[in-house]
This record gives sequence, structure tokens and C-alpha cells, in this order.
Amino acid sequence: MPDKAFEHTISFFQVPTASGTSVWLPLITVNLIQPGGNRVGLPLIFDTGASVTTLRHDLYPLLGVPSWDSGEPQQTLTAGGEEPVLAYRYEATLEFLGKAVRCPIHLQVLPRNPLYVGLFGRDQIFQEFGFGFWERTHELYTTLNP
Amino acid sequence: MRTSFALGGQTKEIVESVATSNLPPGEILKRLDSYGIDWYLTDAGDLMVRYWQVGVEDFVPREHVARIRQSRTVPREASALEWLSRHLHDLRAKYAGQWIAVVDNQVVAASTSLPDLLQQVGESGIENPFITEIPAKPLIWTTAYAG
Repeated sequence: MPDKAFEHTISFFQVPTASGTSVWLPLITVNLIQPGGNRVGLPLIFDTGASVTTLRHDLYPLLGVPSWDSGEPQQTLTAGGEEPVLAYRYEATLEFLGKAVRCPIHLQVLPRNPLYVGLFGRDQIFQEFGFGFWERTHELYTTLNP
Repeated sequence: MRTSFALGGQTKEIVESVATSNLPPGEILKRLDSYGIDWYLTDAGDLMVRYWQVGVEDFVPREHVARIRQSRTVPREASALEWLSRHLHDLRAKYAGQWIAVVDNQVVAASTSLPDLLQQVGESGIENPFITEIPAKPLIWTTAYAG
């Protein structure tokens, strides 16, 4: 088994729930670099099951597009449903830990949650970073040099 | 496996990455500001930076961290996400159903409309805000997504 080296350790977030328990979530903040060059920080949940980084559909103004459904339509399967749902594909630049990556972005109707407005998915992102999980310690390890 | 701890290691990596890039000094300083890194220029023109580093590893049991942190001010470098998660109850009481922009652990703009929020942010000259929506409906924390 080869050794893997990671420069960054990112702790999961412990979030208290209404029932009095708590959940640990692999949340990260990613800068979306808008078409005009402005940066906006967005909370995303790390999702190795997501083929493409997916944002809530109503974030379309950040991409500088006229509506959420103006991109290339995509049929997408979700773990929670048998039928594919509709997403629209765009390209955007995301910056994570200071490294900017041009990658595909899907806009899709997602559940509303204040701690994440989208899913940090694989396409292009996972080529540019290396990731390791350690659930027992609630840590996500990251390298900028995979 | 080799790891470094998030605050010291991450900041050092970012500083090294930014400082060795081909950006002009003014742009590098703006980048440091955007990352929440304190900096100071000496009379000789040297760039000084201040960042957190680990003092003692495993200082308290992990299950006690959230409780102990509650009484502490969030350091400037801590992320808006951490501040948001710690103040979620209060934020939901005040901003339910609104988009918010957070800078330096403060809500600097809020609106029920994201385009309106972005306009407020643009007109105020706010740089690199953290943006999210505070839903009005009860939150569900268990997830099963795959895009």
C-alpha cells in the first residue's frame, strides 16, 4: 500500500440537531469566482458520490446566467430517488485552499440547508486535489499535490 | 500518512503559495486579507504575517470541544462556516427565509432575494462575502445525495 501525504486537515463540523443529538458533516467553504472576478464564499458538503459539483438551482445569479435552466440539460440520478432528476450544466471557477479550478457545475433543485448550498463533487475537482477520510476522528485530509 | 494541522499548516501553505506567485505585492496583500491572514509591512519592506499554530495536541477530549468553544470568541481566521454553525439558532430566529452575506463573523447584508443581496454586497464594496440562505422550514440533517 503506497503512502499518501496530505498537507491539510479539515475537521468535520459538529452540528446540534433539534432532537438534542448532533451530526458530524464534512463541510467546506469554497470560493466561487464570478464571471466579473469577484469571489463569493459558499458552504458545500463533501460528496464523493456526486459526479459533478452541484449547486442549488437558485444560485444561478452567481454564475452570471439569466435563469437556472439556461444551461445544458442533464439527467441525474440521486441516491434518494429511483427516477432521474433534471440538472443544468455550466462551467465555473472554484477556489479551494487557494487553488482555483475550472470545472463543470450542475444547478439542481436541492434541499435547503444553511450549512451547505451544494455538493462538492468529483469531476475535475478530484483530479486537482487528493482527499482522504477518517470518519472516526471526523477529519478530511487534503493535498493540493495529488 | 503525514498530516499537518488545519490552522497553522493551512495558513503557512497559503502564505507560501501566495508569496511565491507572480502577483504584484498589492494583489498578494489583498489575497491575504481575503484569507483572513493578519499581515504587517516593516520599514524595510518585509512582509510579516501572523497565524495560528497548534500549541498542544489532544488538549481536551473531542466530545468536549463544542461545549468549551461556546464561551469563546471565534478567532478571526476561523471560518464563516464555523461561526454560522455556532450561531445557527440565533440566525434562524432573525433571518429565517433570507439570504445572508457574512464577513468577519457578522451578517453584513440580508435579503429574501439573492440578486438583491448581491446588489447590496456590490454597492457596499464588500469583498469575498460568505453567502448562504437561512431556511424558514425545519432542517433535516440526514442526507443521501449523489449527483
